[in-house]
Amino acid sequence: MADRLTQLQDAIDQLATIFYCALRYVGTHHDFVPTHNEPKVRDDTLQPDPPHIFRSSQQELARDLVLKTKQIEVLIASLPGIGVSEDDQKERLKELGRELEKAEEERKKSIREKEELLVQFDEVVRSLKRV
Amino acid sequence: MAEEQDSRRASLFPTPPSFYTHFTPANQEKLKEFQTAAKDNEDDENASKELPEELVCLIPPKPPTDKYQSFGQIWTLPERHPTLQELNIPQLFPEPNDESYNVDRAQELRRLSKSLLLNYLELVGIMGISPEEYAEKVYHLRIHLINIHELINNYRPHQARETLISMMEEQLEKSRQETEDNKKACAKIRELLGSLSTFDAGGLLTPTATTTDTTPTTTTANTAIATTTSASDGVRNWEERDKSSWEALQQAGL
Repeated sequence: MADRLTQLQDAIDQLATIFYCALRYVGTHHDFVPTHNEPKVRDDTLQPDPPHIFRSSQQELARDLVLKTKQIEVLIASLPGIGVSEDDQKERLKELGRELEKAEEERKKSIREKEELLVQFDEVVRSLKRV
Repeated sequence: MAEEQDSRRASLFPTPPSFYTHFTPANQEKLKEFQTAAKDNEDDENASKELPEELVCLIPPKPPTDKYQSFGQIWTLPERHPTLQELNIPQLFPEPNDESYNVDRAQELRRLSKSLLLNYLELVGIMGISPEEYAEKVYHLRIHLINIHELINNYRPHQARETLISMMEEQLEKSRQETEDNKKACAKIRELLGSLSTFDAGGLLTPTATTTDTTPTTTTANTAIATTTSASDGVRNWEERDKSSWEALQQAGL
């Protein structure tokens, strides 16, 4: 999974795509309404959707828009390290480095201890065989 | 000529520069001669200018100090991200002031995304009334999008540090867990060693000792069970210990 910032960036791009799609859909699928008693205008490059489909498509596009915006807001709110300054981060990094070194030392110590015990155990088993 | 050069620079696999044919052993010899000659009379400033044209290319140019061009793109030295002002794009967020910057950034992002949506709404309105005036709003949308991307990209170093912190925390946790596991395994082995010595003192090993060494352990155990029926409790105990010792050995990574 991509990190938060990339997700946010993608969401923004998708929002822009939705912007375009919505306008384009309305632009290419709308029907014409005659004024007064003029004949209804026709445009052969347009294929108007029947009113109920047009309406529901419009609503779907609007819902997409709102959803995407909400998603963007959530992503912004969950950006990592909000309210942490760069100095705090550096301090934390140093501290973690020290702790890691300590933990690593202890880990090595415990491994050594384990190996020593294994050798000891091995000796006991061998001595048992010889009895 | 200039056009040809441009297309060559921008092509995916540019042809080598025309002067590569000058790099011949003979020319290099000649260059050496020229350089030694130039060293002999160092006072003569014009020595390098006297180099014939085919030799000039053999001397590498000085490294660029300001900016350079590579594959049709201009790179600055030292390399850095161009600011919006440099790209002639109005900046819609305030300049960072170190302290509360990160809080501000999220706030700015939120504001910009709201404003983006509002601009779109205005664009839709304009398209309904006078579609020919779209250009300005589209420009606004574009500026907003660029600004948001700029903010996000400026945020990246911060996120990288944050990711590093979480990774280090994870590693610390892992390391501590391993130490803990090792210690547990050690304690178990110690316990086992202690119990083994008492177990040995109980003299239950003697059946194994009486049978010949070459017989497999399973038959040894069987004969032990067969011969020492009275001590069946002891044998069960022995089996249990055997099982626990195997478990301990497996935990210790044997």
